[in-house]
Amino acid sequence: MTLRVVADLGLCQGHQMCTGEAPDVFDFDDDTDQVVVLVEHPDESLRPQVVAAVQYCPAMALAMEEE
Amino acid sequence: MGRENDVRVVFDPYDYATQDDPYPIYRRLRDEEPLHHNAEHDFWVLSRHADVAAALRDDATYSNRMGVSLDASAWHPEAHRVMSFLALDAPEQTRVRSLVSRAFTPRRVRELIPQVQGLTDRYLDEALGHDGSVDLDWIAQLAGKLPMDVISEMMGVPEADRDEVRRLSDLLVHREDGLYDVPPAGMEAAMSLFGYYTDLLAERRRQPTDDLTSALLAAEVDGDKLDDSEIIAFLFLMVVAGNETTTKLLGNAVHHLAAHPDQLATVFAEPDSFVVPWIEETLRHDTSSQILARHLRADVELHGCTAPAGAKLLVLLGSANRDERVFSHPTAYDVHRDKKELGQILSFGGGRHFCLGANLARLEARIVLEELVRRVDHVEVDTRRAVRVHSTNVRGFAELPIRVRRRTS
Repeated sequence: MTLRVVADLGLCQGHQMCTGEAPDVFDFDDDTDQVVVLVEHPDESLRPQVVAAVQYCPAMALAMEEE
Repeated sequence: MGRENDVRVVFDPYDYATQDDPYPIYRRLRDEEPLHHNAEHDFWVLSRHADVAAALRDDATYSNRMGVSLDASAWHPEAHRVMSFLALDAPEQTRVRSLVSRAFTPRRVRELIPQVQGLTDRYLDEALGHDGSVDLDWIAQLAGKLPMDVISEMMGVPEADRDEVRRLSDLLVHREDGLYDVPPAGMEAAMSLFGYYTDLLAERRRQPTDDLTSALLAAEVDGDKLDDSEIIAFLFLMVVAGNETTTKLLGNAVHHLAAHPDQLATVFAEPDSFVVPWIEETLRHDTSSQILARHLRADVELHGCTAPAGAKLLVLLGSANRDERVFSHPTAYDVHRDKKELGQILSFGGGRHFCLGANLARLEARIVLEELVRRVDHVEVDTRRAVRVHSTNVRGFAELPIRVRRRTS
């Protein structure tokens, strides 16, 4: 089982909450005003960061999947 | 009156002196009573950045279900009928906000750029005349009009109706001196606006267009849709959260920059680099929306005090933005402030309730202020004639007389 991060760019509002919660996993594209997933399969140690980012995304644009 | 520290600090948002300048009280709250209780009005107060940020994320403990307003008449479990998801907790909040987000998309906001520019041009054309120095009221002639017009444009309110819709919207949020709740005229305006939006919705159901109202009717997640009362609640949320706050942002931006002529010179010389920091520093230094209320679902123990379950608790956004623990020289207005620091502002809240309209507010401010800089090369505020609104939670000007000097082309 590995962790996979999914960002729905149709929903991303560019509020950048995730880059604060999980700076190692998410970045922001200033040109498109949208999230960039830096690490699609983050290490298990980053799980708490990713959980917080998913939980607090105001646009509900982020999800975690187990593969 | 004795020396400040001889007496316990009391935070009373109804006190006019506090409204005129709440920041010294905020500082004492952060230092002396970071979890403060106002016995007279029976509410609790969080003022430090870390506590406010944590509360905004934790909607299991700090519930929005009673609304977010200090006004007694707006504090009840049905508040969501005019405040939509802002007065809901998960999972209800998640459901409604997900559906609304399908319609209120970043693309829809971006596509408003020509209309916002058009409104800005029209109001500045009217206000500035042709040459030389011009006196105008920044609020009456632009900042008080444009935000509601943008909301009407998004919703699909026909141009002929917009002045009347703006008049009703302004009555809705207007508070009379000495009265601590929604005045009768505000209640009547709410009923009229409710009727207007009900008719608009019925029309769009018969004949959809490409406006936000039609998109809200069409929005669907896994077969689930918004019903009419949920759509009207969101239209009201746009009015109560997106109109006056943006007006005040535009006013505060001009007021503070004009009070710092050296910074004004910098911004007006290099608008491409400095208009955005000007907006962000204004949002930090003197945010329009100062206070949000929460309803405690459980006891909150912090800093040796306990706020009990069932209590009303206020988070002070305006204080969090001035917290010395996060911001360097927080009382100084500084358009050169570090971008990382500005990233910490809580003016639009945080967590799942982060302001849906933040991008729209920033877009409007950028277009309006860039155009102002394009047309004039100097701004002075007549501070003696400036009039603040008396409000428990909104900070800004009802009247802001300014003198501008047009650029010679």
